[in-house]
Amino acid sequence: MPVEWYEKPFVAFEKGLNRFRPWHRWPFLISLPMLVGIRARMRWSNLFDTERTPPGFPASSSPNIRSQRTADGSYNDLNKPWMGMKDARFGRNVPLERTFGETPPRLFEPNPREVSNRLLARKEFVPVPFLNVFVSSWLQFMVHDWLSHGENLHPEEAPPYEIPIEPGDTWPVNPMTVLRSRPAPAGASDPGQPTAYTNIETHWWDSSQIYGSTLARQMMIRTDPQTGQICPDGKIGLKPDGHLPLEKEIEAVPDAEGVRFYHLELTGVNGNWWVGLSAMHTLFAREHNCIVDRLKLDFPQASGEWLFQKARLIVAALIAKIHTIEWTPALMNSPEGKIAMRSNWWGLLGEHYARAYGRLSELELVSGIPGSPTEQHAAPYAMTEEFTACYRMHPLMPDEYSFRSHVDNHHIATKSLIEVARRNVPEIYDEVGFENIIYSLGTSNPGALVLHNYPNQLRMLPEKSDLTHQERLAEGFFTDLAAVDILRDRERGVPRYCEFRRQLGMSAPATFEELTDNPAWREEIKALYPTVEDVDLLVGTLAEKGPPSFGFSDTVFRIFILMASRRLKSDRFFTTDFTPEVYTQAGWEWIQNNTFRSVLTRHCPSVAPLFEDVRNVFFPWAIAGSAGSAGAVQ
Amino acid sequence: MTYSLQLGGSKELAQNAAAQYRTALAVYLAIYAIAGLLAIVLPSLVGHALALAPPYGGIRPVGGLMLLYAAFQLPVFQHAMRSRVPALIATAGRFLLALLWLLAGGYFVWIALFEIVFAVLLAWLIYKYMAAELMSRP
Repeated sequence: MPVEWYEKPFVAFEKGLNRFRPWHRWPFLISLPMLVGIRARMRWSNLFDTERTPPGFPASSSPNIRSQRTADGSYNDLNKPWMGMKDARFGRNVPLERTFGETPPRLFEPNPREVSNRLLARKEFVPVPFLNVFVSSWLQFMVHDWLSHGENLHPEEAPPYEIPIEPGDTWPVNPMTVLRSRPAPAGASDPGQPTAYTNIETHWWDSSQIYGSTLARQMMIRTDPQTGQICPDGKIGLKPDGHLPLEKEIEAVPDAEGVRFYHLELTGVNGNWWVGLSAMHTLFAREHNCIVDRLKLDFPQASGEWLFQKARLIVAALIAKIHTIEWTPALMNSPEGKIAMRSNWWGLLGEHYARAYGRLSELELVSGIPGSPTEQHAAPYAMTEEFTACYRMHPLMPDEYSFRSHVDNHHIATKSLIEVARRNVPEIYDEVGFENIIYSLGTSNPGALVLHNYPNQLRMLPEKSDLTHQERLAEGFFTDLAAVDILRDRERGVPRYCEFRRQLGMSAPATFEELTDNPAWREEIKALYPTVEDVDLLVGTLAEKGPPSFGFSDTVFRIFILMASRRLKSDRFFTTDFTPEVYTQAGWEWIQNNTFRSVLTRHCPSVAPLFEDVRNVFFPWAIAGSAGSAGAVQ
Repeated sequence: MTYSLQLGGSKELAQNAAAQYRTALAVYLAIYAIAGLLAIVLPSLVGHALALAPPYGGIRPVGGLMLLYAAFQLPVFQHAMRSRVPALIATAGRFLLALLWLLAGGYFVWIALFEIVFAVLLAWLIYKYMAAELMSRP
């Protein structure tokens, strides 16, 4: 295990103390080195490559691969240009022999629909009082950057899974059908190995949700909706009112998931579209254009292509910084969580030292990951199936959204989740207004990641928007996303909760009593699962009591602590090429000096006073018209 | 929204924690400075108090070292967060110093007791201060 020399004592320290209790049950000064030890250990024990035959990659068509990101993510790693590119396979966080997908009857035991009905269905909205709904939209914004499994297999390619419906269930048809995941194209070395799946987005933290994962998609985004021509100065095409243009039906370049996203706002990834996600895309498209304006001051002769690519680099780094030092610490609102994430970016020497003197050392622990040497650790960089499973955080979404005025908080409209989604978004902008939407998201709470808090509207999600509700009922064109979440983890061989924890070097509960301290949940889980070993990962992580002040469980945190630093450490543009020479001096300063707070202030100045006194803009903002008070409107 | 989620509120909590730490550190450094001065100015008095056998020629240099020890911690007193590495070294150093006084035996045990009380107090207060400072960031 080639752990770095300076990390070995931390690994030994963590191993020794973890026998007695997990890191979060030790005092701060002990838990911190334990976290360093956990990450160092996992980098060499929990990263596995599934690319048995490395995929082909395009010949480089750009002379600037050293200083700009390619559309498809290739050539980030110059030794392995295919690494992290679109259509590369998902990696794994558990040994490959543990990742064979489950098959019937085990695949359906217990029935995923029953898990959805009896353990996940939201009874009453459980909010997180110290967060706002930007947490949910940001999360989705990020996930769309990192991964998508793409289209499932069509029924003519493979029969869908059939989930029997129990008597008394209100699901409109029996059985419920779920399309199978599309496996990666088989390679010569694949027989006998677990099924692998491809990521149809770039794996890198490169803002591909904004810019797309193909050159054709990127060109669509750069097209001025007024003229139909590529914006000559490297900007993203926006409407005169500053909103994203709608995707036209005649444009033959699909989003990653195909053609069903026509007439939605045009961006790199517009699947699962709703107003919160649209707000994020709108803000960062505007930010891209601001950065272009700034770069033009220093480089008036630069081409539109050069300006676009530099602005993209800067936006991607700014988003990575926001996620690292604002979004994640909001969900891990404890000294340990904060120092873990802030030291990922600035190192233990801290922000002031880094900004004043730069790097003291190449060690990431001392001076942070950005600017440190690139390192892939045990496997080539890839998003993983286990990471995907841990980011199943749909309970963060409320079922209902109240829109209010940012001037006096008067009620404008209340909409259901379905009513704020898909093609309804432009109408909401017309009805409510962008600033009011931003204000409403900033003052509403997301749902807590606990059992019985899965949005019910996502448990009966209408498909095929051209059908009426009655037609859908007759044909069963609905999706129970909660049941699908359960099924997908089993199908893709993500270990169940106890085994998952063991594979991460954690203790596994031996009984239902050890699984959760909530007696009602314990009985409900017992009634559904024969043994604690059968409990699904999602159910276990939602039932588990997380570390103090954390918005998620320790189990998913272990994956995050590994993968959050890996997204930075593996990427050349965040490590060896994270320099003013590559980003330009202006771009470098833009990244250093900006945060989500400044992005919001720049693009929504009228709401800025409402988050002025909020420590983290992912915390609830002040209520308009009530001087000084802050908090979420329920 | 709770006070700790506000920028102003969390900064005030951090300032309060800083003030507590600075007060305790000021008392500690002042005692060292006074003791150091006494050792320089009145070495025989100090020698008597510690029941040391004359001659007391070594007491003056020790007094000078005590003054130097207090002076070296002034940057930490001024802004512990900007001098957090020295602050942490000093925190650990106080426990070591307490051990050394203890090993010296005799009346030095009383100095060891004084040192251990302040070592524990200052360690607790700097922990509280650093946590509060950290929690005042996004």
